[in-house]
Amino acid sequence: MSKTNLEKIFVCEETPTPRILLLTDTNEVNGRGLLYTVINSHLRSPANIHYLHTSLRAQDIRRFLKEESSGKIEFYDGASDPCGWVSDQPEVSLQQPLQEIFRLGHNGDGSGKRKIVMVVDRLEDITHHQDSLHLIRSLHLLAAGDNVEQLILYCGRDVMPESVLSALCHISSAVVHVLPSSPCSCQLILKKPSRKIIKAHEEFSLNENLHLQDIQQSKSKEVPCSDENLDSVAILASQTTFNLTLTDDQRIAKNNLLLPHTRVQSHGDTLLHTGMG
Amino acid sequence: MFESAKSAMEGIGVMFEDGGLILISETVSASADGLITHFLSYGMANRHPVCLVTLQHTWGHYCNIGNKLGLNFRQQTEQGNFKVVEGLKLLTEVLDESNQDIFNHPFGFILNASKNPLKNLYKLIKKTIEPWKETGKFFLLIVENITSLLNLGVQPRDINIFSQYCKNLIGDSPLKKSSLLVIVTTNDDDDNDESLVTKGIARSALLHVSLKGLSTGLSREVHGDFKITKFNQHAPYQCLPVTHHFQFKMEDKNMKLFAPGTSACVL
Repeated sequence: MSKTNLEKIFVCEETPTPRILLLTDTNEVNGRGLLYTVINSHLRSPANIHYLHTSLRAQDIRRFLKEESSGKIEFYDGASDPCGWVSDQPEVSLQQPLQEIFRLGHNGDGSGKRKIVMVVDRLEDITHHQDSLHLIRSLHLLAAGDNVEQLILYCGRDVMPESVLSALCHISSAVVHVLPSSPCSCQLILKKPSRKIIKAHEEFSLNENLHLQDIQQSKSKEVPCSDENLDSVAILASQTTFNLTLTDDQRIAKNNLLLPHTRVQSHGDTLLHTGMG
Repeated sequence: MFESAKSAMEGIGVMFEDGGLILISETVSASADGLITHFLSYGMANRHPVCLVTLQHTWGHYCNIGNKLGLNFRQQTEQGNFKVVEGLKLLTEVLDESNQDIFNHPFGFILNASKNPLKNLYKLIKKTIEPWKETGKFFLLIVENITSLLNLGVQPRDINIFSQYCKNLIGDSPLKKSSLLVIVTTNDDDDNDESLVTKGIARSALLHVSLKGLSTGLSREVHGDFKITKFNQHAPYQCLPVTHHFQFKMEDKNMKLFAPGTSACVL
């Protein structure tokens, strides 16, 4: 029986299934293997899969998915002509709202009882064509469908606008950030219906069949973080014997100090120092 | 031409004949001009047609480099093997008041705000390589330096869309052989837009060659760092890329690569 959070999410043993699963990676680590792992898990379930791809072609993706279940997947090609430069009427235009792209009304899955899983691979390509607010709204609408088992969003967190990434983390029931560590690891945030939030840092590896293995809690005490999160002042202060900090009184005195080059204006009989610029 | 660079790329498992997208990122202190000339000479030596889209330098600049290396690129254009889309020339055309057809001009977006500013440039490139595509010939498409478009007010997302369409032009797929697309960017950590464009293109690149100057300053024997990064597109279970790190020195007719810390001045 799986015990780790990573395995529960990607082998679809988490109950209930996280409604929106956000999987992110960077230029330094590829999370596509994990994406295929969770899709293969869904292929073993009764759900149908609707796959919107924006960078790779359908045949390049299909070869990593279970052959015998390939009839359960419908691909939406957002890679060949995303904004109509080749044809005035492209098959899939990424300028359309996502709910129109998936065309739930046309394939009958929207009114049927069969559960569906929707995949967006890669979300940052869609942000090139659509307003971020409309995109988040579309994701809300998609995930709210009665027969939606899961909405899987795959993106690079180093190329997504920060505001959009924050919004995605907020609306997602499960967030998996793949980290460029050795061995591979990921930071997980799992939001339970009971409002409990589980955070974990787990190491993993994938075998050639894209099965998760060697999953364990990360032994490293240092959680890798991006350069933007580092407090450069704190680090600089800790690496020197000089006191680089100011007390409140010292800061006020510094701000009030009038330097020789400071502009001075005269207003009648009163001299007004403009102070700092 | 640069045997060391070619060996380094082949050593990581990339054969130019298999096609795909190669991203070359340079910095202010380490120029990729030598590598671009390397690809031009590769096309010439193997009789592959080449389409060069120059957005930063002139065609004359590369011809001069070629002449110094004993390569006659101008003759290749006369014979129709090389086709050049000169961005700087197109830019002066659009600013010429006598030019009536601004809407269809590849750089018409400078004078007319457009939803898809690079669509006309893409159409021009597509028209240029169409004859080779129709005959199924293997060709090289080199775009240098795509981040120069940021200086003309083009947004990073439009450049990423443009690069996606250029990638479609070469028929890039791991399953079948495609032509070769080489895109050059400037990647400055302090410039968010350049960094966004480079990272966006790197995601879909077969190979990323990064040229950077030394962080400690200038050296006569070492001109910079040469880093090759490759994700295995046939094995997505390998989450981490293969990275090879070299240092390089540009000589008159050669690019020397060596392991970090093994330059002539050290050994």
